[in-house]
Amino acid sequence: MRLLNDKRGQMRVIEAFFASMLLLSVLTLIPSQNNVKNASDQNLTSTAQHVLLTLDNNGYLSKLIENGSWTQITKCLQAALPPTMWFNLTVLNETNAEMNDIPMSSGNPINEEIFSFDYLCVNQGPSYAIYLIRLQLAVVS
Amino acid sequence: MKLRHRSKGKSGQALIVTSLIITLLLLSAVYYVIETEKSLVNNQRLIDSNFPVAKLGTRNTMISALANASNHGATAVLTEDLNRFSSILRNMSYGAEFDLSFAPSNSAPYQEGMWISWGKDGSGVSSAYVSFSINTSGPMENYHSEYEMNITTALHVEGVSTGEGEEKTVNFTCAVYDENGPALANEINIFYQNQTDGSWLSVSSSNDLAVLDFGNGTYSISFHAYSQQPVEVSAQIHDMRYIFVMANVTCTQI
Repeated sequence: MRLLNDKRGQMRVIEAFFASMLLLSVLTLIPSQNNVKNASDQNLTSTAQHVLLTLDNNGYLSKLIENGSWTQITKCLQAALPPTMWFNLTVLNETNAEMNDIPMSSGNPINEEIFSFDYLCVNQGPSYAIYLIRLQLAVVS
Repeated sequence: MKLRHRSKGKSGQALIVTSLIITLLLLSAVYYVIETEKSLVNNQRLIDSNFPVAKLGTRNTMISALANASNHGATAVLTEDLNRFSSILRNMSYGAEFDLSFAPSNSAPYQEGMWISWGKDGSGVSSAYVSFSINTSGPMENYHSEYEMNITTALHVEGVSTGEGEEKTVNFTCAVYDENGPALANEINIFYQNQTDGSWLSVSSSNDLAVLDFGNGTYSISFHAYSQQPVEVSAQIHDMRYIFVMANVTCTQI
C-alpha cells in the first residue's frame, strides 16, 4: 500500500523517459543530414573525376605537366569547373614530391568542407612517367 | 524507520540514472553505426572511381610502351611499365584490395604483347595487345572486371613512278590508321633507294616534295628521284601519339 502511495520517483522517471525520447528523435534527423553530405561528396567525386578524365583523355594533361605549364592547367580547370567551385590542384611525382612550383588554385577556400580526389595520370610519351594529381574542391555553402 | 523511508525515496533516482545510461549507450551505438556507414560509403565511392582511372591509365601505359618500343626501345618495356602502374595503383586503393593483373598477348602475330611488322609490301604495323583483370575487395562490395586493350598504328603505302631514264616522278599515297580507324600523322619522312649502292636517300624540298593532306589520315605525296626502275620508296611516320611505323613499297613505272 505504501509503495503505491509513494509516487515521488515516478515523475522523475517520466521526465527521464521524455528526455530520452527527445534525444532519440533528434538523433533521427542526423542520418538525413548525413545523406545530404554524402550526395554532395558523390557529386564532387564525379565532377573531379569527369574533369580530370576529360583533360587526360588524349594525354593532354600529362603533356602540360611534362612541360611545367602550371598556368595553363589552372586555366583549363577554371574553364571546366563551375565558377562557384573552389579548387586547388597539386601534382606529385612517384616519390610523392610536389612538382608544381606555383599554386594552382582559384584563390582562398570558400568553404571549410574541402573534398579531395586523387588521380593517377600516366604520360603517353616514350619516357614513361606517372603523376599523382590531388584535386581539392569546395562549393559555396 | 527514517532510514527505511530515505532508501525508498531513492528508488526513482536509480531508475533515472539507469535510463540515462541506457540512452547514452543507445546514442553511442547509433552514432557508431552512422559513422561506420559513412566511412564505408566514402571508401566504396573512391574505389568505384578508380575503375575508369585504371582503364585510362592502362591505355596510356600501353601507348607509352608502344611509342618507346617502336622508337628503338625494347619490347619488355610493356611489362615493366604495366608492373609499375599496377604497383602504384595498389598503393592508393583506400584500404581495399585493388589488384590489377595483366597478360600480354602471345597469340601470333603478337609476342610479349607486341607486334611490330614493317614490311616491304607497302604495309607496316606497330601494335600492342594486353588482357587485363581487376579484382577489388571493397568494404561493401567486391568487383571483378576483365577487359582487353589494343593499341595499334598501321600504315599502308602504294604508288607508281613515271618518267624517262633515271629521272622519275614518284606518286604515292600513305594511309594511316589507329585501332579506331583512320588517324592523323604527326610527322612523315620519305626515303627512296639509290639503285647504285643500295643506300636510302632522304626526300626533301630539293626533290620537289609535295604532300597533300586530305585531313582523314590519307596523304598524297609526290617527288622527283634519280633512280633506275623500279623505285623503292620507304615511308616513315610518327602518329599523334609518337608511335612510329614504317612501310616500304616498290613503285613500278607506268
